[in-house]
Amino acid sequence: MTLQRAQPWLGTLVEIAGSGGATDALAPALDRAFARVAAIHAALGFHDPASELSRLNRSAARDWVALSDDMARVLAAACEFAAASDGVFDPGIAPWLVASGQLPRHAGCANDAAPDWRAIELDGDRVRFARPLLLDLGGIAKGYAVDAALAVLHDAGLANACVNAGGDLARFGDTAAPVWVRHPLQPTQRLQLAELQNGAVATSAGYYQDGGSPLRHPESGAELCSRDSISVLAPDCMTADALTKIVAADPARAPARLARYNAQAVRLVEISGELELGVCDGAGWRKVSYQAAA
Amino acid sequence: MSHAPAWLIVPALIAPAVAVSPAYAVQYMTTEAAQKQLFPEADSFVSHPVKLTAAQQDRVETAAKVRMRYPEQPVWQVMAGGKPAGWFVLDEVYGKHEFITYAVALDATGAVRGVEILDYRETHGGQIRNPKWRAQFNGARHGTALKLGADIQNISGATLSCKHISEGVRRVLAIHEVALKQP
Repeated sequence: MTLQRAQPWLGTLVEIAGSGGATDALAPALDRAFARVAAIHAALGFHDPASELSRLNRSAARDWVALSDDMARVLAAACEFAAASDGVFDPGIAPWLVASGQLPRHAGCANDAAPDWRAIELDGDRVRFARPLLLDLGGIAKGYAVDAALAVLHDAGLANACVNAGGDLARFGDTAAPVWVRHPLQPTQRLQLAELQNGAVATSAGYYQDGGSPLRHPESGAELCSRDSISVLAPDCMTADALTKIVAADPARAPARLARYNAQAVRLVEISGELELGVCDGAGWRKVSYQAAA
Repeated sequence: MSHAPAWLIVPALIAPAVAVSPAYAVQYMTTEAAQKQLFPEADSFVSHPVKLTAAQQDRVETAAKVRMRYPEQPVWQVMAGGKPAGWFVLDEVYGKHEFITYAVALDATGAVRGVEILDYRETHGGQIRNPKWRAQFNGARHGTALKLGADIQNISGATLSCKHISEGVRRVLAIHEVALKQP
């Protein structure tokens, strides 16, 4: 028996599917997995002025702020990705997205602060900002929530499960299953990307975005991924989620950064009517030819 | 989680689905299953469709800041232990590529208790705005199983916005305020 449900969370549709294990454990396991996603949404969301993230954005420039376990883990990961990418990944770029109207402007926040992840002083389960910052965890929170929900399903003893938060997905199972990526210019068409048994895929692209891509180059603020898409396959979804932005912003340095996380990237770009595929791992980028299915 | 290093890569361009069918469609649950999911404690669901007057429709649109396409809304009053326990509201929204049927559970005070997606389908272009195209799925949400390919899950892509569902829930809350709220 397979159960598959979907609910709106994290600004997108979250689909959770599972099968195997004890029959009477399946439905409660999906309930708990959705509850986990809901809790992460409530804590890490930027839009809600009452979220833990919003409290942090209002207060952490003044004094230490105590963190929930989820927030402590995601902030630590955000700082690690920022360091590993020399600031290409920066959770402090929210002011650019507030300025473009893609994120709401909350009272009492540093809405015009310059991004600077190095000003985040993380000390275990507390944090303070060395100077005013406005953080948005949209670059990794979805991936984190996918991993957390999948862990609930794994602990419940399911044999197969997949969590897909609007395109950022992770799965485990006793068999490999094909994963697909949307065509960057015709998003209702799909290409098969890989067969995945245990792992995650995340994609960044500009389609589905009203008013431009939310991905920005950390130095220039320029939009990224407006005509192409970057997918990353990685052991977990938070890593895949973060790496899509890092690869998009600095493709030349992607090989070493992907290798460090045991990840691979696929870039799809349409050049004068032809879809080009580039694949990247620790060995570098290479072009892949593909066959149109009959 | 274990990690198979040889997972990649045999990309192959997959031909688009036949133009007349949705590119991707999934039925998550029927209306009845959604009722049980959102109100497991309920004894019964009493059909209570709402038909708004023009004046009520104006009030809903002003409060929710979204346009109402239809003045009618399928609604059930939820009964538990002989008392009203809330409302189950069926709704549908569509965007550029997607057409979504979903249910909103309101508790007895009118607060959102849960949102569950019933059907999700997407297409290549203008079909979604065509009432005839949408009408062909009206039976599906009442329990007809759709024939689905098993190989169209696991789609990665840029985040699909749930803006339309957020607007829809706002509209449902305004309908509750205007037409369902007990004095």
